[in-house]
Amino acid sequence: MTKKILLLSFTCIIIISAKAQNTPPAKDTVSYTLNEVVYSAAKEGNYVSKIKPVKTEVITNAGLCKMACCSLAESFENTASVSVGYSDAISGSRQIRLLGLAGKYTSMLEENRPAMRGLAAPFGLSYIPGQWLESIQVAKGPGSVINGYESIAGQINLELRKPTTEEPLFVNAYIDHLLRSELNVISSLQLNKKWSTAIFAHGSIDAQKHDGNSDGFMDEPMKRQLNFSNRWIYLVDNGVQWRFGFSGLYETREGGQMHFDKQAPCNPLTNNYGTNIDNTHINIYSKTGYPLADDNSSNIAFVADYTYHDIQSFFGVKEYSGTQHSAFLNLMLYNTFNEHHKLITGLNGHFNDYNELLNDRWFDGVNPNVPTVQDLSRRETVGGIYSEYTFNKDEKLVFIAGMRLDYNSLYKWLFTPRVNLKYDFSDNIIFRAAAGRGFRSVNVITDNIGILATGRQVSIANNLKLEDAWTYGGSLMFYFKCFEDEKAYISLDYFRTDFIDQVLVNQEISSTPNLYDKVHIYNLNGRSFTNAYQIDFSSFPVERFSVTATFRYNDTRADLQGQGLTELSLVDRYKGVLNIQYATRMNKWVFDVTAQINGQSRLPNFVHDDQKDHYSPVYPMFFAQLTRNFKGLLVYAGMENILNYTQNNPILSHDAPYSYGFNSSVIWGPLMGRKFYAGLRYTIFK
Amino acid sequence: MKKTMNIIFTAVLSLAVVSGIQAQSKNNEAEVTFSVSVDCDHCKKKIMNSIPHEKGVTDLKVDLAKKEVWIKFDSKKTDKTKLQKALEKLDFTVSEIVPKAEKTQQQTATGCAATCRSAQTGGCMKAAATKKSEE
Repeated sequence: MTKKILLLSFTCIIIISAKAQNTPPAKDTVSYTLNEVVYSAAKEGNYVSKIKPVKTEVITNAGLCKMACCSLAESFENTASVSVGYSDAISGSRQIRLLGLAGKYTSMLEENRPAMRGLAAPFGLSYIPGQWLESIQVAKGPGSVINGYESIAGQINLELRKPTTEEPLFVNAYIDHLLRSELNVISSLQLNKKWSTAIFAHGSIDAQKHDGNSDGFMDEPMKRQLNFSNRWIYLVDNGVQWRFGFSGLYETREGGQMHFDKQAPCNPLTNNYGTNIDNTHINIYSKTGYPLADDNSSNIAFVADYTYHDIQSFFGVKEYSGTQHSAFLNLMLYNTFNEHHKLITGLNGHFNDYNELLNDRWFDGVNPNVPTVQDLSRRETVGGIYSEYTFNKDEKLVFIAGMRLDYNSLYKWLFTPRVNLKYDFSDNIIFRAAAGRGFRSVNVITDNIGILATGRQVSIANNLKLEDAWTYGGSLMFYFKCFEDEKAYISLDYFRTDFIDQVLVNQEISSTPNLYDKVHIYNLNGRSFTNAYQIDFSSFPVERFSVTATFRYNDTRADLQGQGLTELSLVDRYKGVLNIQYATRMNKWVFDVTAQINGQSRLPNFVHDDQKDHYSPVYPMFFAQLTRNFKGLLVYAGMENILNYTQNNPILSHDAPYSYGFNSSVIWGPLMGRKFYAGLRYTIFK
Repeated sequence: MKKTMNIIFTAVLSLAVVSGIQAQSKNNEAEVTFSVSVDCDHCKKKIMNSIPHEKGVTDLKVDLAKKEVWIKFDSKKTDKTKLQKALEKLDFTVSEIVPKAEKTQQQTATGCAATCRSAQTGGCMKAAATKKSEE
């Protein structure tokens, strides 16, 4: 109650003080003022796009600066659309959820090229430093057919800082109270009228062991990461453009018991448990655009992308290693017939070669290293043709119908239809609807890396199917006047996903009563669906003061073997986010406060012995950041998880890491307590 | 924990109130609006990074759609010419937008409108074009 009163009075006084700053000019000053001011405060924080036909939430650079946003995962902390959680308490792998569905059902794109796929997925959210990003677009629903058939829940597109941005030097340095430090250096150089390049470098180190809950295990692994990227743009006046570049990454993470020494082998007889995960990632891409008509009404584009990823890891005595070679090719032909009709047609090729080996060693009570080697390698080639038609009636009605036909070397012919509709009832009421199909082939281990951080055997059924789902839904947006803001909005969403085929990962099946010794991975037999409801509010009621509030509710169920239609475990039922930002004149000081309420999620049945449903507690999270702008220099300091809330006992049977009961994948809450951090951003403008 | 929360909110609240009081105590404030060749977010960022830290500037707004920059300043510490020069130093083409009433007076006095330079395209056009093409 006291907190509520404090928050309310804080909000009121800020509004009053902002109003005081905004008093009319004195009579002796020049009377001319701007009629419609674009507020200098960070108006471009997070917002739902008004013009995009697909419901899209945009997290801009200003929005990314509301928090430390060291990695992509942290960039989603002040949005409710995307939840970020840990896949386990040992590897530090973070996974997102969109529309209540695991991150694997969201298509991750880097400037509209597939990214963080396959073996890069488990740790991919830490591969793109937040400071490299210009914006993030979160589109809900099946979206476009242009980039493939994969997106089921939605698409998250990442836009990086551009070579054409006239900032020869940007430096970001960051440190937190646990001495996790990070350095980002970006240089965008315009060599001449045609050529521009951007060089990105990142280094981060987290070398401190920390065990806040005293369970003998590190709360997060120690990490070291180095990233480098070089991107080029070649632009010619006649519209020809060529974008190309490469990026490389090396990351190593070491976790497990506090006393674990990487040089000493893990041993069930001595209970010595640790993990080590090394990742190497290389990406090379080229995008070419060539106009076929003088007015650019017709053009052709070709995208080529190659990715190499290598992962070498062990979790106790289990070992997992994999290498991925992926190539993505896309040839697109754009035709704008007139202001109402547009057609995109194209050819698409996707080649994936995975070499994966799992040595699922286990302890039979006598022999500490019983080997169980599984070769999970596969080669999958997809070739497809697609077409997407757009009807646009004065931007008031936009209808997009797309379809694609693919041939998959493992799963044969696949047909993917998708439609999107946007209709503006008026300038202030916008309706959107979307429906479409999506497919996805599974990567058993990297989709579920947390299962390796358990004492169980991995049991994979034969002939796992291609996942196949339909997603449909819609949204309504209402714009209205709220104090000084002419364009405050409320947005209502509903999306539903129905799986036809899905690969389930189930730890709730016991071999004999009360013996849960396996993680079962098998094809869905029955129904699986998700209903996702969301309401968003955003306003700048007075100048330099913004409020965004979001609430999301999910209902995610599937027919689980032996349990029938059951709520999926560890999926939070709801989440609410409130962000308040206030900036003094000219953004010299910026204050950000974010509050989250995280709903309960069903705990798996093996957590308690009584066969009843148990739920995690509802918990709040608070974040605050203070930013000071100097000439060329921005200094920020903040606090995450202010209430110091952490999940109790995140590792089950932590004292017996080689028992079947050992399980670090039952994670529903934060693993790290309160965190203080500070950083700076220094920019030289051209 | 309650104590930590109270400290944070009190600190934020005090700063907000102080900044409000400071704003009200300003005298000698004048305003000027310039037509500036800004056409991208980066241009706005460039201006917001520099002009607020010029001596005497007390408030600033950038309207990308109208290509206008509005500045409130302490006339004892700076003047329109200095502000115009500061904007030009950032490689923008700048001209003052004279309010109608003032413009009529000036025309009567000099027979010529003070400003009629049109904003020209700067380096940021390229960035804007790039952004558009990416969309």
